[in-house]
Amino acid sequence: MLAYATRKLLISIPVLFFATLVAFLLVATVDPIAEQRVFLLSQPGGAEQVARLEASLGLDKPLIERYGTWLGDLAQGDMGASTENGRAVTTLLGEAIPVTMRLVVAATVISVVFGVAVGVISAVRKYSVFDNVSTFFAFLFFAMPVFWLGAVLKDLGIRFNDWWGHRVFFTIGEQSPRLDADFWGTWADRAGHIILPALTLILIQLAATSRFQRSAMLDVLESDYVRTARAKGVPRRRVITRHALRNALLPVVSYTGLTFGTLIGGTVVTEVVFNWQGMGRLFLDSLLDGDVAVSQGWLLAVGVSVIAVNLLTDLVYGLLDPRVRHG
Amino acid sequence: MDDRITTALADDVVARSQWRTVAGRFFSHRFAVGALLAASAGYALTFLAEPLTGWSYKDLSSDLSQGPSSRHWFGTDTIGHDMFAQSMRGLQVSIHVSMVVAGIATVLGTVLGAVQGWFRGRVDAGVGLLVDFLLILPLLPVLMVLATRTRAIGGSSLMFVAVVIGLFLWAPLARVVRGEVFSIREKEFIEAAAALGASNTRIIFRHLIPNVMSSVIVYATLTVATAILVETALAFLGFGIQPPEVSLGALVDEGRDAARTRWWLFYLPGAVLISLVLCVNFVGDGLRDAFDPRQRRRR
Amino acid sequence: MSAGEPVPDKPMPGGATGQPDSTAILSVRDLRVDFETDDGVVQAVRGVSWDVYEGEVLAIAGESGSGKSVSVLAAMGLLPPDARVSGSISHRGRELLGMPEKKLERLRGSAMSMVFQDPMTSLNPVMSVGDQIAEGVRVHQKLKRHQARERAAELLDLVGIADAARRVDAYPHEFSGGMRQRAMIAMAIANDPDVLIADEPTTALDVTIQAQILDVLERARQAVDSALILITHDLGVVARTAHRLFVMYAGRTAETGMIDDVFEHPVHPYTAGLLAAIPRLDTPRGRRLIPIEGSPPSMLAPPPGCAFQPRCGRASDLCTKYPPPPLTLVSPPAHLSACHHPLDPQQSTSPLQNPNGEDSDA
Repeated sequence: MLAYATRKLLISIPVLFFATLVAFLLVATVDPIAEQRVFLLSQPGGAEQVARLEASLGLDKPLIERYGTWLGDLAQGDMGASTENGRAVTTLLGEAIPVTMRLVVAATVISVVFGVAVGVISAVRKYSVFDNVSTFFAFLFFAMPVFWLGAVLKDLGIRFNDWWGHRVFFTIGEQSPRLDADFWGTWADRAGHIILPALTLILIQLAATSRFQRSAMLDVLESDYVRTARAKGVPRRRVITRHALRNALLPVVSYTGLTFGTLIGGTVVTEVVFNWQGMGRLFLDSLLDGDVAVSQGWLLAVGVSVIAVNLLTDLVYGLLDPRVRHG
Repeated sequence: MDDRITTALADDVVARSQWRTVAGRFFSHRFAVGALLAASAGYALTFLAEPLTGWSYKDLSSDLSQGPSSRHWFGTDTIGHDMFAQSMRGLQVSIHVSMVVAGIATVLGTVLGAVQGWFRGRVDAGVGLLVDFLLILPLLPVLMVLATRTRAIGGSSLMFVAVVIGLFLWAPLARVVRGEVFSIREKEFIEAAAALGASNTRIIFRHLIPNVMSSVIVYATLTVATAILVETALAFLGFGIQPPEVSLGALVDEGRDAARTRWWLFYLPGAVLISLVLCVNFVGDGLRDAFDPRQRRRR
Repeated sequence: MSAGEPVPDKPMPGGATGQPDSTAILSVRDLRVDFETDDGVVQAVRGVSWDVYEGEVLAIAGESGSGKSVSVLAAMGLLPPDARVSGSISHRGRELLGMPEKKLERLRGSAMSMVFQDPMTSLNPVMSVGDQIAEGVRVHQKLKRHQARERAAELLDLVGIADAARRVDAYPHEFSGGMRQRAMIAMAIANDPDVLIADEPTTALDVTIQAQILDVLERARQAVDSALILITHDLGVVARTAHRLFVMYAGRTAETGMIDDVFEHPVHPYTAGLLAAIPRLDTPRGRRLIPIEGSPPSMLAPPPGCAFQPRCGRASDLCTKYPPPPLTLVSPPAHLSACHHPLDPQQSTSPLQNPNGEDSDA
């Protein structure tokens, strides 16, 4: 297992390096001073000012050199500063990541746990009422765009609050502004804010995960080794948990890793719908403002998290499957 | 008759009857057929909307913020757009974009996957790296960045968006095709073709790809659904198709703040969008059942 | 065929739909198995009866799709839920069809156990071989974890896995195909079953190790003193292992009897055809193997008459119109056959015994 883990860790190093390149290059050709440039060039003597501005930002250097500088700074924990407000990218990310992390972790954990449970029950009780109902909802939510579902839940939340006469669901922001509460009060407030956005992501992820788990489970239930276990006289419940589920979890583990990137996209959209000040907002603003350093830092942070999650799922896969671990 | 000709004819008959069986299974799948009919009818309606209602998506009527009526089926927005005309245009755009996306992704995925499976070795490893990378790539953020770049060069046109999305969505299919080619390349008819000196190109296009068509078709359908969701999400965030062109995602974005007061602006375009994706998924499900009856639901 | 093996001293009930034989370990009467599919009902087994007695080796032979595996899977209660089973299967006088799953679980793996065709897919890939054997032991016997593990090692040793004490912790992918099949056999005899069922146990293996596995199977059977039902399409395998043979075609019995009787005097044209198709070392030079032309019928819509008729050289109008007659005694004690136009046992004689090698091109 140690050899397997080491190998997986070593493989992620070049991938990580590649991710820095992509993060840098994707954004590097954006002109961070596009607006000033247009304005300055219309002024007498503007060309010199533009040149000075370019030099201060290092834009006069070739791309490869700028990448080297960026990478060097990165190694020292410096991701540059926002051209909009001058704040360090690391600070901005440090503020946004915990907010988004709450949402992503809650959505992933809940949707995987429930997705596996629903998928297994559906497969074991194929064509039962439970299976048919969960299939119906899976189809429905699988077809739903995140942004629409989020907006619908937000609308329903507001309507519910109006009807109830008291605010139950918070529909704006990740926590109440100017909140002055103790530790538990803060988390209670945050919990009230996270329900609807998390539900948005969960419902859509759950639809996919449960279908995926169902079909993995159906495949495994028809396998020869499940028949062998039954032929040994192993009781049905134990056949399902020890033999079928153990094997049917494998594809779902890799699936969870693979769809993490999609989940990030869904999170960006959800944060926009619910006006969260998290990673989604940060990214959107940085793109709209042409804030190059922030966009690059953001892409890198997300890239690292995607690589880390896939490393994690690889390790879990290795724990579950001796073939991979020994291979 | 020449033996080879009879064999070829026999093969052809077998192949044709297989397709007929598949078609038969598909058409016995009520949901899938209904979904296909509904999607086709919806597409036809996008062209009939203007003649039927008298409104084009570009028209600005003097009816502002009106609810659904016989005059404006889906109501109007604050500046007098007929929302039915807008939704139908958005539907049309989504269908066109997703078809182009699926076309590009399917061709790329099939050919690259078959090339991987046939040549193996370095080619396989090289393309494989790209596939692995694309599979875990957070697609939406990357497309958002690309959108800011392309707008600078004046290219937020419908087709441009479609091509860019298509270039990113071929990886899942490539992986599946590669796997299937790995197993059929060992079959006798491939060995025979290779032994007779058929070129690599001929083997890939004449022998390998026709034998993985069932997966290709199913994945193409799935890609259509993904493409619709990606295109509308981009438009929702303001990074996709730009006004005056219409996207259902942009319509939902404009309507969402009015969800409580002018529900038709938000719920109706959304319903059109979901219906489209649902139909595509049902068709995909029906196709998968038709090709792989083992997974089939008995009625 | 060794001397002194137990031979039932009364005629087989054969195709008759009589009472189950309570002296038999497994007694099958008029078994029918249908599968409902999208394309219609597949009649996999169409009224088959047989018994297997203490300590005997019964071979059930036939082509794929003849219903041979389906009938034993029905006995084990391992058919998929869409199978419709009727008739009777009893174990030492206890009816198995309709028995509650809980009770059946107690019999499976202890009274009757099974070795499957493909050892590559029949073992759980994420569980160690030892754990899989020990699990089968612990399901039926009150043993501590370490005791079950020791038992697993013993069993692996018995089936000829070298260094068994260490190998119990190995995973299936660390075993070769032959070793996996040995492990399957170890698993099957773990609880001293009355009857061991082996479903094409050598088909998926390399020709070079097929004989080894058959030896291991026989050794394992003797170690636990059980009966063996050997399902195979390979009459060569039958010849070296079985006491009694049961030939199935298209879900029905074609012919059954003691090995020597059937091999020396086959009366059903299908059996004779099968025998003529076996390659043998003692076949005179130049004699050709005679394949049976054609292929078995679709069991979706089996022909109204004899299912073998389209491939049969002796077929007449009778065969196209009427199903074959019930099994009739060819010779005592147990040689029976169901055919409108059986070969004459005295004249027919197997091509193995009296090869008409004259018409060879040698």
